[in-house]
Amino acid sequence: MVLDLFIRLGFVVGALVLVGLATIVGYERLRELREDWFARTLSIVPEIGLLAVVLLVNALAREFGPDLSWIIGLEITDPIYQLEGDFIVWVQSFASPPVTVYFSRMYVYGYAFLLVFPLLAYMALEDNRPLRTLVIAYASNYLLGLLFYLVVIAYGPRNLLPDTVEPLLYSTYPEYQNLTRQVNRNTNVFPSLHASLAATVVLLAWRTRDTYPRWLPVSAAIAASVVVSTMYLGIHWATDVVAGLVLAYVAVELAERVADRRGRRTPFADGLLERYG
Amino acid sequence: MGNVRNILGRDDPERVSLSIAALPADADPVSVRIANRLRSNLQAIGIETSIDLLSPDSFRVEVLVNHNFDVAIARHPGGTDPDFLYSTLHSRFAPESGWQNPYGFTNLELDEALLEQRQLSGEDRRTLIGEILQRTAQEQPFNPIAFPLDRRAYRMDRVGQVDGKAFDKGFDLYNLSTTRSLDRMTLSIRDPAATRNLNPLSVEFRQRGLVTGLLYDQLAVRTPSGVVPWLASRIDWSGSTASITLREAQWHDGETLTAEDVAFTYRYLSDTSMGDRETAIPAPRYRGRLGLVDTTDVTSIRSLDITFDADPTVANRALLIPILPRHVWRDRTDPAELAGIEWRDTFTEGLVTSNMPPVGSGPYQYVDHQRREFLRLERVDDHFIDSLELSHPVETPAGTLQFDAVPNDPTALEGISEGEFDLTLDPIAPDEDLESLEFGEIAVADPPTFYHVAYNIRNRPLSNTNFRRVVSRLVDKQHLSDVVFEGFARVASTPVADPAWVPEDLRWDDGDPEVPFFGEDGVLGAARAREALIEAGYRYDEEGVLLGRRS
Repeated sequence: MVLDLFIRLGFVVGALVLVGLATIVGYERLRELREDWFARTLSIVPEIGLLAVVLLVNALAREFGPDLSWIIGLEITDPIYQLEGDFIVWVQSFASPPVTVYFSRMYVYGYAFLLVFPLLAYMALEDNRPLRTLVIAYASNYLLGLLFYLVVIAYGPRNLLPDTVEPLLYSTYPEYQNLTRQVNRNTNVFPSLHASLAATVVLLAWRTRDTYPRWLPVSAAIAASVVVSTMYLGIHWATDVVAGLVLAYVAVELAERVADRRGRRTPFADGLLERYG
Repeated sequence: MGNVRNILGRDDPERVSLSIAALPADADPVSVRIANRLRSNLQAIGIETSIDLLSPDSFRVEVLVNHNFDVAIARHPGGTDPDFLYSTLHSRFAPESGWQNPYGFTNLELDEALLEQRQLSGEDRRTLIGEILQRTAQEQPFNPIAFPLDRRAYRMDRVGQVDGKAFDKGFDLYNLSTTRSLDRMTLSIRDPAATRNLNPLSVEFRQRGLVTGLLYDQLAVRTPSGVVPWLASRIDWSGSTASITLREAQWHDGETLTAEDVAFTYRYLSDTSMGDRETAIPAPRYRGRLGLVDTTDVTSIRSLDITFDADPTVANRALLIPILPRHVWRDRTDPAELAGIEWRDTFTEGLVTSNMPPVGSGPYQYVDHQRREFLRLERVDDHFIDSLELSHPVETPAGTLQFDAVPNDPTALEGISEGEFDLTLDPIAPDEDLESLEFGEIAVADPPTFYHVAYNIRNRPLSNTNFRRVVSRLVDKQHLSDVVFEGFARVASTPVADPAWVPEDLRWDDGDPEVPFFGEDGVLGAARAREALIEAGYRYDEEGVLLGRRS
């Protein structure tokens, strides 16, 4: 059942990526990428390694983190609610079936496309700095998000307010529950990683707007939909989203600095290139 | 000067604030929905209130072990026999953990009555139980709301005889398959406790003990037709002594189960340090039942005498405890060092071990597990269950029993429709629409468990009976039963499910006989409630916030 969903996700995102490559990246860059893809991949081996390590730590923490955070963590579901009140209820007051379909698709497919596409788009550039920055920014998001998940316990709106907040995603598409539970625990809502990663992509799209002018409005529109969807679907509080946006800003700044610290190609990658390139 | 000291030396009354512990909607929507309504009514009468959402095991640690709560909305396991009131309310259990008096309630007259009812039977006992219920309703150590009707979804092509079963004991899983026996039966569980811990003594991981009930045998089991011998082949009563003969049975590691194991279990559960500490460290979960046992005396390798300090009709309950292998548990007597629970020299290893993999003697043994994902058990060959002759034959439902953790009800129902699950073991929340279920039937059970508002009487101002009574009157049970339980509940005025025990004037009669709601149809008449608090001696400040002394 879960496998079906992943396959469907793969097809949809794959199709969107193809369209994006054709319309945003363009033939010339793809041709160059075909010739140079191996060298370009090698040039970002350290960054990919970092991301892999972070994701691995993340996976382990997901297994054991919840027990730990119940011991050391701060439970802030109700304080968040006291802070923002019934904002989510207000957002959901605009709900209608077609809107729910739109935001559910954005939450699942739009989000996945938003994260995957820039990896390929930036790989199609001769300059590997945007790609390195993107990968480091992803890793920073996960790493910083993980720290929050360890020290902060927060349930989403649908868990505190079942009377007024509809779990729209899962009442419309119960099968998605299986998909997202592979990725998230229900106590990990602060900050919203959907919001932070989506915003990260847009922030970097802004910095590469001269190269990919079309990507900026497209990514901004998708990211805005993803951010709204997390609240519309009753999964995140507005507070989680704001915290996610702050996290995105910090992650991108951090990634820029780390990316600055090393030249375009590392001696390590050059060594590999000499041998295999 | 004297005046100044008089004034400065006094503490100013502070604004009263309370926190309500509840479960998140994924785990139990009823709990948090009641909590939200109670919160808004408390705020309407000037009491600052917050809600603490706790995962099921954290909830049990904070409420039942650490007693770190003001008000908690939870499902109490209840009991078929009203003797459960003894461990629920007797003051001697107030310092202990588990469903033994988590409220910290103390009342000397009730203490006496709770002990006395154990020696009685028939009409005398009924009368005394009635008085106990009356007194409890007046004192409001907790406020019973409703006995929920549990709905479960199941695959009719594979599972039968589900209706009416409470699934609060291993026995309810027997005779469940429609064909003679399935290869595998998959049950969804919403509370993943059994995928993390299989210690039958654990307070924070055991709610009903259904899974451990499959792994461990008891001397007797409760069936629809009463308590019947199980691991015991015979139980002969003479006075308050039971002579027990055991069936032939083996532990899952191949050792033989003997009367020594049984005697050990009774000793161990009443003091898990086995006399190592100055004061006994009993197993909280079976505290009330163990108190019924006076002495055990092993008479041969497969027989022993147990003398009870109670009438046999009550003493039966003491036979309903899991028998543990001496060779495994006798080493679990050291004080525990653990995280998550305030360490207070009151826990031994046996109380906190995850006990995985477990060595039991029951019809099922442990095979595999993945924390928060699944637990797999398999049938034991040549367990005495195969030759057991109760009023009807008892059959294990499948060669393999798989318990799959699901994040919430929609996923469980989806699994039923997809054929992934045979039965949703944890009941489906009342707000879930089951009409649209594609495949699968719905079974309904009426267990003795009840939802209640638990008060921590150790904390001010909940230590004040009048205050508790006012808080209880902020709850519209009828409205909750209609709206939150969607009608799948019986409104409760007492904690005892069987109306035969409840005196006439305590029965629900268009309102709670003791703590009727201040208002109508769920809408609070806040002015009346405020007046009641003022009458009870409380004051409000100029902003309408309730004042009281904390600390």
